[in-house]
Amino acid sequence: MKKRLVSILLMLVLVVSLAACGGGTKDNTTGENTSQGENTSKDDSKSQDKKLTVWLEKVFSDDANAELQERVKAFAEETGIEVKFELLAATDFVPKLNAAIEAGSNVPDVTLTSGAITKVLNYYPNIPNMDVTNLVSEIHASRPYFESIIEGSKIDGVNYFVPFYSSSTLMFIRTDKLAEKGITDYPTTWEEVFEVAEAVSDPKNGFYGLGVGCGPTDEDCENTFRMIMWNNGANIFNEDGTVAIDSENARKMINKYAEMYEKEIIPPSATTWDPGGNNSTYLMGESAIVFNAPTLYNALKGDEAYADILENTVALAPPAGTVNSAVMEFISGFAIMNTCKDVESAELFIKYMLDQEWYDSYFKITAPVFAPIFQDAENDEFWSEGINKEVVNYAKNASGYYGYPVKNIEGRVVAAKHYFTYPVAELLNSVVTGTRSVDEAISKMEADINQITSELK
Amino acid sequence: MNNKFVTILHRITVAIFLIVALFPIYWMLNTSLKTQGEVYSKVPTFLPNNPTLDNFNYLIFETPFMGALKNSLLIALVVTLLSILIAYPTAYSISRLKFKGRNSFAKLILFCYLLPSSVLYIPLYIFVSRVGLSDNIMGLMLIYPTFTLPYVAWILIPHISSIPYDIEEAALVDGCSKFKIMYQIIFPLTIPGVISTAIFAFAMCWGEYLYALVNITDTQAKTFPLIISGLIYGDLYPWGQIMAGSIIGCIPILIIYIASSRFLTGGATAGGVKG
Repeated sequence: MKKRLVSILLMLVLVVSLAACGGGTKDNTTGENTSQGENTSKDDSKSQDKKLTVWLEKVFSDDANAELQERVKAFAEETGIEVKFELLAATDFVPKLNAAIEAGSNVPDVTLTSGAITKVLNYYPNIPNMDVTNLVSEIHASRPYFESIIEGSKIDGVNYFVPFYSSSTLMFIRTDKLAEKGITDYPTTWEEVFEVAEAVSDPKNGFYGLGVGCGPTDEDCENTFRMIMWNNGANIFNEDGTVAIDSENARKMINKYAEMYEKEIIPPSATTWDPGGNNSTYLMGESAIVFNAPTLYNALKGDEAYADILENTVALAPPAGTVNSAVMEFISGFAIMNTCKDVESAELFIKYMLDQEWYDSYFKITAPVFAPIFQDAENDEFWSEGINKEVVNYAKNASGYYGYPVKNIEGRVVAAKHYFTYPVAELLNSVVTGTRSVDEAISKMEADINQITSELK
Repeated sequence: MNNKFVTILHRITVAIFLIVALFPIYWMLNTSLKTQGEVYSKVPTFLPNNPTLDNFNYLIFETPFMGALKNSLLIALVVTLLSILIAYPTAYSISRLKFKGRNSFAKLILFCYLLPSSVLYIPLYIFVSRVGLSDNIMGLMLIYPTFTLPYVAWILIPHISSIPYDIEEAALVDGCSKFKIMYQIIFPLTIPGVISTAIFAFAMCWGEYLYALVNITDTQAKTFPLIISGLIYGDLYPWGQIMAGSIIGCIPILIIYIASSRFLTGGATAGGVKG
């Protein structure tokens, strides 16, 4: 028996030793180009003992990710600064960063994330990002950003990240289904969208006019319905940060959604959708109009099975409303974390990533999902027509944000924290499933916002 | 006639349960063999129209999935072994020895198991960082016993308690030491319990996501659930690839279940104290 025990213990030691040899090497200096890889790029001959840790949010295409990695490696080779970088899935980014910040260790020096402004606000008052206003101004002076980008990336006049690119929410329309009903003019207002959706709906044959879901975690619903509300005079907040959801316009919009759901203009399964629901409904050929990022366009283009739908699809800017035409801004940017010890190298890295020649070629790979955010994009032939033009126009004109139109930082912080619970999606879900009346749902949203406000105080 | 009816009823019931239990596995396999276009088709197909191995090829040859699988396997094996090695004497002591605070200690083990990982992940991340094992699979080998150890100990306590004490007394009379009784008399009798507990401990480590996500950044050290989650870009899910990863991820667990099933027969001590 003792021999057996000793054998087991020896085996354990062997396995642990193998583990130590086999995985988890922290100092990978190979700089291998792997699509999901963490790499350390280093040029020994130029090494100046400068190091940077960079976390980049992975994007939708392996080619684009590989290009990002190559760029980081080129920076390391040209400057001699050792860069340990990692491409992280968007869903993994925040939990990892939060854990590192909480623990006070392994915090990266530079990050590149989507939805940058909301993430920054969510940390208030302990914002872990450095003030990079001077760097943004310097970049803006040499190559002007769109004004919407400059304005939309500031919090109380301060930049906590350097804008890098913009994403968008476009309106995808099945032109063939509209044509079948004799509709040749595409809707330009939300009222027209609802009318067209009703006209083309054929629920008996499993076809629905409007693919806007209301699952409790449906982020696309959250974004789309906020735009519907802003543009029809139904804000969640006033400019001073007070709650404004209890209004006639808000009731009207919520009731309109519930009515469309009731009439099966919206698919019955919409109450269970996650952010992928609107993609699925369009790809399945189940809905005539959806609002989504241009990743949907790429999906249509990337599979022969969707050739028919792609041929009969047009992607346009979201419509305006009766009182406004604000669209949600989606700016991604580079942040330098407070814990960064070599700010000079971090700034150098960001400027390198924004170098005009590389920048312009990179965003042609990612088009139309990501759009450049500099004014000169309007003069570039590549961005002058079709869906590419739409995404640049979107970047140029976007002015909405979570909490819009709140101006003060306290109100924006409340709105940002509130947003992460997907309150609009939850409100619509509770109304259409009969869990709450419209009044009860509005009261609940008010109570939730007040609770966040009091917690912050 | 009555017995035949009962047998048929039993078989129908088992068949229904089997269908319910196996349907998700079948659907995973079905989806993993489809193109993205077919996955999103309006009418779901119960068999792929044009079966393809593209999803498996992508996962195996264009992502670090296989390396991650190796990491997961190594971590799960080491942690399971460690857990059994440490938890067995713990469970034996609580079950057989009489000492002050024994019941409280047993309850404490249960409380440790019930602590949610969302509460522990930051303190454990700090701990692992301080000992220099963050971003290393050794760090996970240090973390995972925080949930496998209490689980294994808690499950083994009733297993050991169910073994008649008379067997131990007989061994004592024959001059056997406590240590020998623990490992040479009782341990072989708890093998079915140990095996079933080890399988669950292995499965807990195998599919663990949160601790791995927070602690591992280096691709070389990632476990397979992180690679699967990394396949998702935005809101368009590559279901074929995700399901291919899940199918491959099921295989080791299935092999372990099948290989160990012959050890799971209980009742070894039945009649052991008669006569």
